[in-house]
Amino acid sequence: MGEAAVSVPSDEDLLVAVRGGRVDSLGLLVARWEGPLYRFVSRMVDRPEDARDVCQETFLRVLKKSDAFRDGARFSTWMYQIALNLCRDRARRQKRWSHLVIAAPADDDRPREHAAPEHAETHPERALERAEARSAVQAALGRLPHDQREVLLLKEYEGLKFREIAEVLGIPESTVKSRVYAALDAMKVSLQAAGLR
Amino acid sequence: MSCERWQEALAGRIYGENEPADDRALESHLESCGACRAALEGLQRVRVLLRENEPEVERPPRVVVLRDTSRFRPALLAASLVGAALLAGVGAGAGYAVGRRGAPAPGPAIATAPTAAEIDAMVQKQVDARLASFQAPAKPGAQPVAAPGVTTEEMQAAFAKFERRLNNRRAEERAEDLDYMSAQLEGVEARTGARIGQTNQALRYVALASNPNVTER
Repeated sequence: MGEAAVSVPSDEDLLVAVRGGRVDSLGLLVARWEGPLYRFVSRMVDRPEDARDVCQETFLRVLKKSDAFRDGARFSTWMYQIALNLCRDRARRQKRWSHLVIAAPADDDRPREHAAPEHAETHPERALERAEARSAVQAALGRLPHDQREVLLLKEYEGLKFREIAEVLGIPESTVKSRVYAALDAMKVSLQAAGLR
Repeated sequence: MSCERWQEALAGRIYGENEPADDRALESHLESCGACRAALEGLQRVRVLLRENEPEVERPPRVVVLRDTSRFRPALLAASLVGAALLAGVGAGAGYAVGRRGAPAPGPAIATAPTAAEIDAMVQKQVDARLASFQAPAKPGAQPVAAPGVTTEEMQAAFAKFERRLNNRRAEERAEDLDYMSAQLEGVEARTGARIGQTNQALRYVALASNPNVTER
């Protein structure tokens, strides 16, 4: 047999293809990134429907603005930049729209997945404790100032390097480190107050 | 409380991203600073708690991606967005006309490619109107669109059926699918009086996926 190398296009290759008119390449980018993007966005905005809107709009902007992507840049960095800007826009508009917010239906029983299923508990008491702990973490994240929440989510749950976060946010890497430190410190206080140590 | 000047290095340490020289300097400092040692331990513990108790995330929605067998044409995408806006705002008719293969020439709203701002304004206007209609008191004797007694399970089955049909991507059926989906969503709204955001969202997906213009040369 000859060479059996399988070429897997990078995100950036796919974006170049999108830029060249191969819109179907966006499908691969979406397949790769919709999960992480949705996870991040859903923790940045308050309502699931907002998260869905932001994700959809992010991919549409990727499609529409692919010409603006700089050669040598990372696709994921650019995508998170777009999504973050949309989250910030939404937060600004939220006050104006707040009187129109409609609560999610009580019978919404769509399946949910936990991001770390290996921690799934079968013992009812432990499962309850776990649910309470998750809820405490979620509440503590929600209380963080917006700029701290951004860096902590990108760092802790999306696994970006400090350098990459600096690029996404357009701020110095040292500032990212300071914010992550401040965010973790604030989380420590909140989680201790919630009984998590 | 840690020493402020070492906080960046402490953050770098717990994520393993310090330069070797910086890490050695931090190590040397930690030997003589109990406050920074305690801070490091505390931050590491917080990281463990964050990992062990990562908040739930709703299952990501299926994102329908536009397909294009030739070239992407921004004007048509913009037109499809307007179609989506009309669909979300005033029902199936407008979006249906935009999305149908071989449909008559589009109306004035999509005769030229609207700007993003115009699309946003139109979406917002239509959504406002739709929300206002839901907030208005129900007229006496008004009948819900869906048959009474539709269960959540039946709705989920209907959506699953729709998704299967959409996956087949038979162009001639898309318009019919769009009508079907719109009727189902109208039914949900009429039955529950809620889910408006989700409904608009779903309609947008459907309208985008159902506009065969974006697959034509």
